[in-house]
Amino acid sequence: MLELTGVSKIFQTSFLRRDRKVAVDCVSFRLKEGEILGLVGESGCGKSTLGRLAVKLMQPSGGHIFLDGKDVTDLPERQFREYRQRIQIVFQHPESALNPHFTLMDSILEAFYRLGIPKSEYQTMLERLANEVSLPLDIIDRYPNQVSGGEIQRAVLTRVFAFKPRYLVLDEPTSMLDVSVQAHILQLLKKKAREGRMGMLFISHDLEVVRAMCDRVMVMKEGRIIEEGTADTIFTDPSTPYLHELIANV
Amino acid sequence: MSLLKVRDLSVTFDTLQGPFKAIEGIDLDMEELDTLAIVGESGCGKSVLGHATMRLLDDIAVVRGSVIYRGREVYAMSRKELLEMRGKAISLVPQSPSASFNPVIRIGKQITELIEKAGVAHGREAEQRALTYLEYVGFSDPHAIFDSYPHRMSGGMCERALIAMSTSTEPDLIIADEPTKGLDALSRKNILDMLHRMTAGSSLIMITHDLKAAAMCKRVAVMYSGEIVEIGPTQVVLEHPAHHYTRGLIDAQPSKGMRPIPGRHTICSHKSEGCRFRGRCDRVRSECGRHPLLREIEEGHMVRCHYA
Repeated sequence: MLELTGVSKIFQTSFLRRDRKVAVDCVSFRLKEGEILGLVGESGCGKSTLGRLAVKLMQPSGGHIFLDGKDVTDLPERQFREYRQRIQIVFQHPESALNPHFTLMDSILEAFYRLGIPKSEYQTMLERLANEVSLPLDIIDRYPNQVSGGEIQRAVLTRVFAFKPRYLVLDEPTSMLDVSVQAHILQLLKKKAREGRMGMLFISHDLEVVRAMCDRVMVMKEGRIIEEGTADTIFTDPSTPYLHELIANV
Repeated sequence: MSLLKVRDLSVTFDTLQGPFKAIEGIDLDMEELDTLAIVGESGCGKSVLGHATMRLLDDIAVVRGSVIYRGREVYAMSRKELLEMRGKAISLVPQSPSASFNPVIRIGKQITELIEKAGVAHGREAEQRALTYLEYVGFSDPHAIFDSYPHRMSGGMCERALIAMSTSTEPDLIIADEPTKGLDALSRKNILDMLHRMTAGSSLIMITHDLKAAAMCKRVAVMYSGEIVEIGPTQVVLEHPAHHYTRGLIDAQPSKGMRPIPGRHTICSHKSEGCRFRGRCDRVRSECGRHPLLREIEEGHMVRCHYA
């Protein structure tokens, strides 16, 4: 289980005046394996910051993060490394997710190298993973700017799944993609969560997508979780006026 | 006389890998106060069509066919006539709003410049007009926006400022290229409502891949691989689609079952004979080896499929 308790993040926005902005304000949640937990809210509400905190790409200003029962909040980077494979993140913008000087294959093989997989197994592993996310092998020699956003996002997922993560943070993984490509990727993620028992924190502002994907949903506003519940109850019976407005505007 | 008439428009780009046909054989008619949504996947040629209509493509694009605006051929206009037409008669709301403004000039100055160039108003009057339009698009403090630089504003704010700019000259036709891309649900709704309110006195071509945004227009044209495959009144096309590609796009929406279209959208330079969608269509038959023509199946509803 991935558990966050009372996690906050405060940014200093001005050097001289010491202005502060509370991006994430005392947030707690639990994510079980095999569960898809939605996180919705409008731009600037702190959802991406929370996603980054959950994978420790940022150090929280307060609170604790537990990964499978172990408090990893203050673990130094070196010791956190063994945990990092268990929790991975996929970013919103496919075009900036991969190194532009690497072909898709280089980026994926880099992950294999980090994992210490013997070179002789690269090819079979690559084929198996690419097949899983339906990444066509004939485009694998191309650079990120030569393929479409959906294809990059598949390459990113190939790389991410190589680590066999138990938890995955998805920060608007399909908001830049076409509707039919989006359907492909979302179906794939759903299957992975169900069959691979992967826990996913699914960040999105698209309520329709969240409704189709998630088991539970959290609604975030100004850094706080203001509502939480199963996807069905949240959408059929929203209790806060803010969520009412969000749903009415879809 | 119709406002805009596009006939057999084709655009070919000369690339290192040889000629690449981006759009082919496009026919379109726009009447006064008409609203048309052009939908399709990335790379289907919808933005190229928007740019070609205003003759904005650069020299590596070879354009064939004709675009007739109020009886005048756009591709036969002199440079002076073109500059008069752009911005004043036909306006473009380009994609990626933040990158569309000049980063080192204040928003207000950029809008005022267009108003003056179009000859709508001058000096103080032009500035006043810019402020009025900034207020129309929903800014509570238009003076602050007038004086800000583009990087101080969010994507949604830039989009609104762009729409204020494009509508400030009261053009006959506005071409909006993906006005809601990358915006969150609330701002998407706001932008769409505002866009329709602002264009109430003009015609609108909205290029989008969002079917919900398209539903707000009177007509919809669906493009696939450089061709229009279906066009008709919005309600008819979205509720009773005749082309399998349109059906697939509708079914891929999360609220309609999230079923992906099989195969992938290939952008190939050599358009083969036959229906371009046949590789992904589940009802492909022998007839599909012959290239289908766009034909009318009911009043105003045209489809490019042998079996529709």
